[in-house]
Amino acid sequence: MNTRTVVETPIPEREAQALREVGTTRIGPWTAILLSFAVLGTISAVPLFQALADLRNPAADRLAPRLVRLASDAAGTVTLLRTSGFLAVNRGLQDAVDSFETRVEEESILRDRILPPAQRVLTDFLGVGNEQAYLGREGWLFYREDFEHVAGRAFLDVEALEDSERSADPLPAIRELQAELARRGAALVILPTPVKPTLHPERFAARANPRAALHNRSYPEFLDRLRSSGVEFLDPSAPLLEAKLRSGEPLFLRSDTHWTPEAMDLVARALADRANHLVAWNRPRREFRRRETPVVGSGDITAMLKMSHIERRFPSERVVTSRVVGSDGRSWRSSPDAELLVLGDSFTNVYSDPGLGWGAGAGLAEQLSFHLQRPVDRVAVNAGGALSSRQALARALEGDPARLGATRIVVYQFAARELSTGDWQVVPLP
Amino acid sequence: MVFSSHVFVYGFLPIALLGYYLLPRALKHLGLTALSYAFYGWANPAFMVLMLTSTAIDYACGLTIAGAWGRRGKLAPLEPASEGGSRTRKQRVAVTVSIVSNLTLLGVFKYFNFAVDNYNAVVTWLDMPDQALSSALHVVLPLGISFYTFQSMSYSIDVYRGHAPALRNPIDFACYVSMFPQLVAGPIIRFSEIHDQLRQRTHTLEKFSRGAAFVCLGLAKKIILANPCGKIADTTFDAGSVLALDAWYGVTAYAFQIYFDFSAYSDLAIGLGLMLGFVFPKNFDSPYKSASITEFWRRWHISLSTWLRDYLYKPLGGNRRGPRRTYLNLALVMLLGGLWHGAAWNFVAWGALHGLLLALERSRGKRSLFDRLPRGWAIAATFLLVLVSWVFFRAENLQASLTYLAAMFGATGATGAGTSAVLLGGLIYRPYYLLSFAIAAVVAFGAPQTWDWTRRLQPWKAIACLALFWLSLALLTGQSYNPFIYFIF
Repeated sequence: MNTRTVVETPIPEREAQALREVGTTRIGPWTAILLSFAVLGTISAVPLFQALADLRNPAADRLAPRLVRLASDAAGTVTLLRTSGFLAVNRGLQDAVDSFETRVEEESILRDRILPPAQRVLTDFLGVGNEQAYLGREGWLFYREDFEHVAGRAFLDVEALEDSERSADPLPAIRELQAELARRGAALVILPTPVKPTLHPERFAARANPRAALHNRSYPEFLDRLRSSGVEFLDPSAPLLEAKLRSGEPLFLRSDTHWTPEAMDLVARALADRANHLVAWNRPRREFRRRETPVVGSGDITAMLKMSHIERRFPSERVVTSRVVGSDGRSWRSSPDAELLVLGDSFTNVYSDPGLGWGAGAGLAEQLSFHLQRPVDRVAVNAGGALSSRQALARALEGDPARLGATRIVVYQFAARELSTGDWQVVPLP
Repeated sequence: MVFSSHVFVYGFLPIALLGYYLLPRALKHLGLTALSYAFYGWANPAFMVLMLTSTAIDYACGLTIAGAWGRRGKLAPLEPASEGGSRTRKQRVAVTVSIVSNLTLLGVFKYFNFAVDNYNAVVTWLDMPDQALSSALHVVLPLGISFYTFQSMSYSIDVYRGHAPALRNPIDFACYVSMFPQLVAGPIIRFSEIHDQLRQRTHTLEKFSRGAAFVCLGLAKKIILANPCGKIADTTFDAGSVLALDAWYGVTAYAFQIYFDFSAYSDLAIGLGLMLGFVFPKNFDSPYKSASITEFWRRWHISLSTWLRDYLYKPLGGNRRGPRRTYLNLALVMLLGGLWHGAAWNFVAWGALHGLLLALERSRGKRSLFDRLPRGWAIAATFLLVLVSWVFFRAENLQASLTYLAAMFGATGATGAGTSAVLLGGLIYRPYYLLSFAIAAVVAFGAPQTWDWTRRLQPWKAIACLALFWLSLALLTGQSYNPFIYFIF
């Protein structure tokens, strides 16, 4: 009886239409088999091949153990229910799932095999990069965050600051750093380092004016606020732009996020002038010399592209770096008891940290030593210059409270993109 | 879990299909419900508790309305209310409890932050900042809550109205509410549209293969068309300043993004439903081919517009109480439709604009504002109005919407080659984006929609579907997390 009742219930028009239309799909049996089994085969073959590839590679982090690990992570989190509460357990579960999903995607055999040729087609024929690396003109590459900093929203926009989940306003952290250093008798100079689209917009967009430096809309206001807070800063974009227009030489590496040795040297010289102007040095000068060293490297943005046959499309670049050595010919070393400290990110480390692929002994701190003819201390972390370098300084001071004892001036260098994307939480110095 | 993700395509989906077809008939709904909860809880396990709560309340309300709470035996639908069926106080209370509890869930989780922000804005404006509430009081929006609360509510209302029988088996009901293909972003499946399929449905190769075609095309729409158009839109809408031409290009790209993103989700939902034996109604019908706003709303997000029509507009009196009341009802329904999409004033403005246009057309006897133009021009003019309304939908807030509109009409002064606005051109006019945009335009205005195109599947169409499927999967390897736009609604 009940079945009849259900059938008698009026079927709504949309469902009736759907049932009628789907019920009249015209498809041959072989076509239906082809379509169904090809789709099923594709979605099943990938995990099967993944499992086979894992079996053939004893070093691989296999899918099955990963699943077991996810289950044990989840179970482990649930046991925390009594002690940590529901929300903490939920957060733990989310983290376990996120990390599982990320690893599955990153270690996928499909990604390994398909992504490089697919990226090559996209880049060579459709002129596009990927989510991290943007294609510029004439073989130049740009980093997405650099582009978004320059072209994106004003970083001091009140709503953006309020809505942000990170500490987005750079001013409080900078003022706090200045105050902490002043208590120790050291001056602070901020060095917001311009990013590639600022100084080479014409290499990204054909219509851009090569004679202009493009900044985020908030940048002038940021400098004004530094000025009104009494914070010393060196904005190197004007002298760099002038150098570019004068020499016609690029200021940035074609395939890398960082500046050329010449651009870095120009800024080091300007910094040295500023430091000499600000500080009466207590210690005598010490001799440093430079030795020209050619380096061939491939840029960090090239690596982000994850493209096959990349060397053919984006060949390695050759630069001449200036290795700094002491009067005894020994390599330059950071001096923790120096009167000047460079707090920086990868713009400080490039040409100094061999891990960045552009040689050693010729970074910003080294060039500063050369121009000042004085030893320089350096605390530099390659990523997250807004926060990591200040945290590293705080850790260094915990380990050695006398670390800033002789310091008269601290140069705080960070990539300008950090103004838009960085975490600017206040880091108290011990 | 996102349909266009590695874990879903190569993990969840094969397991779900295998598990579903291996399970005996009596356990299929239990299996499907368990899979759906796993699918939903993947993003945030806590959300499962919320959905379970909503499900339990509506299940109990349904049985109470049917007078079957605590009784055994099969259930028949009530006498339709409109045809003389009377309702007891208990039944009225039960349907009220269902509606109020669902709206409360929606209100708390979707509109609490909006209410706090507005309260704080008012006390700040009144110069009483010490009365402001802490911004630490922040409620996370559960995925798909707007969809499953509406869906769950439709059950109690349909049972109350006598349009469908109540469900005795709680697993069947939980399966209806949580069904993973359409859980997070619709289409909103009304209970009356699906209750008989919950009892009995067929699983045929014909249905399965058409479902597979829907899945291939849905994935292609999302990955090949919606995502690149989304990149263009994101670039222009997130820019510090934008040139007029770029602003138009950006909002048009957004129009394509939201259409292909949302209709892709609907195609995937319909396709996955078909693979599991369910037939879900059409949700899109080439909306940009509309020659009026009234027609647009007959073709866009059909499951929402018909839901609003049947559960809100008609109960408000519809068009039965004179022209003024009709216009008011239309405006109110569209305002609430705007708010349903997002708790922000720009969504209210979007809804208000559509409400105003619908009321204007209603005052002309549902004739298009452009009915004197040839159909092609009327379609273009209607699309232009839709574009302007999308600005409110996409922009971060009301102020940003107005700024963007000003940019579209050249009123922001961003013109020079020396401004950062000029950089955008270096990205958004790349051949890949231009090609995606052009294909999107051709498909939106010239191609039949998935439903019609797959009605007859010759071998060449099957091969085309597979080619698009494999191309999408290849492109997916280079894309990180790319959720569907309607996940946030």
